[in-house]
Amino acid sequence: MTSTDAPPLNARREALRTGWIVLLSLLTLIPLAVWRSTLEPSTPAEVVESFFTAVLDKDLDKAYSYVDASIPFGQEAAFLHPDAIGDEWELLDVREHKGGSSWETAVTVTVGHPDGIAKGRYSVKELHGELSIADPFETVALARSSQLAVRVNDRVVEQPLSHDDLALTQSPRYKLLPGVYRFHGGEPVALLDPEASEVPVIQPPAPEPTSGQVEAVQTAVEALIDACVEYSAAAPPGCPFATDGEVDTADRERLSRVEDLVWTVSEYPKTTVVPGVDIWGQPMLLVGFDEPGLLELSGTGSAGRDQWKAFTAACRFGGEGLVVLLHGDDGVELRPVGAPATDTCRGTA
Amino acid sequence: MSGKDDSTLHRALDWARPRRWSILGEAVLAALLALLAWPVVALDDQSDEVAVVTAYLEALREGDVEEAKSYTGEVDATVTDEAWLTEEALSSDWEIESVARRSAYRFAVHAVIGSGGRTAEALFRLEETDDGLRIANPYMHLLVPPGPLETLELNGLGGTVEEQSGDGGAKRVALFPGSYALFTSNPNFSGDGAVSFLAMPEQQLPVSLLDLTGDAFVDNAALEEQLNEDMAAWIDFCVQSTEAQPAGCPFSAMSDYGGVDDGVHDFEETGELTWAVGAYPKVRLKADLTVETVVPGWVSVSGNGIERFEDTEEQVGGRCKISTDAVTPLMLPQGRFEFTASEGLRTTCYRGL
Repeated sequence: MTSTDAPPLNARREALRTGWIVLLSLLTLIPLAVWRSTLEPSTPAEVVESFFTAVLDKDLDKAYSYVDASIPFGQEAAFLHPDAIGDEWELLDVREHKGGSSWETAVTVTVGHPDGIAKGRYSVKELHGELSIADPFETVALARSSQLAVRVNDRVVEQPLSHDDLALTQSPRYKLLPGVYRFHGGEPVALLDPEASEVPVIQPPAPEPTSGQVEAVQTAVEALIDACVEYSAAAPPGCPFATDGEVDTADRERLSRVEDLVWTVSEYPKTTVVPGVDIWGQPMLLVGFDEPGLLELSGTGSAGRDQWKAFTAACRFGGEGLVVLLHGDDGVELRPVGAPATDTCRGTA
Repeated sequence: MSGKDDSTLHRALDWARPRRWSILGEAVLAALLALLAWPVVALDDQSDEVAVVTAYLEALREGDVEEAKSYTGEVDATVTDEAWLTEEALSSDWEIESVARRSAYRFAVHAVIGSGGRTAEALFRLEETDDGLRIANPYMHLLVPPGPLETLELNGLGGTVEEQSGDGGAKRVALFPGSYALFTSNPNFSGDGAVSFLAMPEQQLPVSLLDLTGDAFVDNAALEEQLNEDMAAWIDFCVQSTEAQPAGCPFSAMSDYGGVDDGVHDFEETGELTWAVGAYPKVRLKADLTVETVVPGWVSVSGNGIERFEDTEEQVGGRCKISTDAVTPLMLPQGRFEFTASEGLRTTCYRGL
């Protein structure tokens, strides 16, 4: 018999065999589906427990899969990160509260941490037979300071600043997963109340500049001064020197309404970093002047009704107008959000 | 047919005996079943919502505005300029990096787009409508501050931003997600000065153009040079006036009484006045795009007139400030600036010559 002459019996047998394979393959799906469904939490308490277990395991994507809310992103989500989840707390108890509506169940959780225990309450919703937790994210405000890097547990993030950020009195807000947190390496704080009416404001420790940062302030101030003397203005914007329009000349004459001004640096000031507050009352490091340096101001000023005289006057550096912001790696940035200098000329020797 | 050909054919036919065919068929069938079973087992629900957002972004990358709009829901267009929601304003200079649901909440889809090493993320909100799933927040709303950038040019499509809200503040422009290059026909924004940003729907408040572009306008030396050159030309034009209050100009000798105040005398009436530039100002754009004076400028005014209080004939002769604080620049296509000054400016003269 040649290979092309297969008997009809064989073909039937093959078709039957194929049929069995299809049937058995489909049947294998049933245990797979059952296995999967048994892995899923089936009660509100199990959902909350699974959520907290995933948080403790730092498996954020798994934790989010139990959440019936959009997941924060961008700047406010800077601490939704495994490194920001603490290692020194554990889930002690999860308890469901009967009653309430048929589609929403309250679940309380108890966690233990080095300073004791803390309780929180979460709401689990049922929609189309699926259980999920109503928005469990906590909101905290981390008050600004001169130290731009903020630390939440092991996660350190530098707060970015746009042009007018320092002029905003509200502290930047962040979303966190529930848990126990050490902010800036401080005492543990349990955050287990997503419906809290008040957002906790975390105060920063007093910023301490490194010696490298103090040196960098001197360099930054000198660079700022170089840019400032380009301005032919009585009070160049954001600069550590100014005249209020009345100057005492070298030959002890007082002139007013000065104009055609030229500022020239004779000697840079010696700067330091001093604790203070910005104009919004927030504690900030300010530029201080150990030695006030020397500037020469020349221009014309009025000595009386339409009498204009050329003059040269001595001025110094001063004021509490410059806030110091500390970056990592000994970097600093100056921002003019303190009280600006009004007159640093009269009285200069 | 040769004997060798015969044996090759036989070998092929031998291989293809019914049993072998069936093994091949069964293998294909098993693979198909595995493919069918995978979604059931994994329940990896890259769902309809994700599909809608992906299709929306892909349509935009391909420049198909009509297709993209078929995925958008009802959007309130009363406060937004929609002139840039067109194919001409789109670019394909960006990639879709990811589109995914990140929680059990069905109607929120996260998407990330990227271009040139930068990324932008957004949360698309979906809504169930009679026509199916639609994106409720398909656009980014860009706040254009009053001033030089109101003659907006995005990806080569230029126009003046129209105010829709009527409150006189910053104007809003609706944009499709994607990458946008600003002022490409302006030579001051080419090469190192090029400015672009990624647009994605905002979370809450409209996004300020200045937040997206950082210091691009402040640190642009060519732009500052152009600004000062054009301002000098404008002042040269203004000093040709013989009026006490040159129309639309940043200086004036118009007194509160309607006569002329040269900074020394108040004149009841004057003949023709002569203006001349004493010093051109030097200005720059601040971070908020208002004009900052680096070196003040001044003009002189001269002529003849009758002094108001003494009733005597006096020479008009005053030095008058060029009031750059009251100036609003507007950046024209090709990079030139034009300026407007506050209306009805009273005397800026403050001293004699």
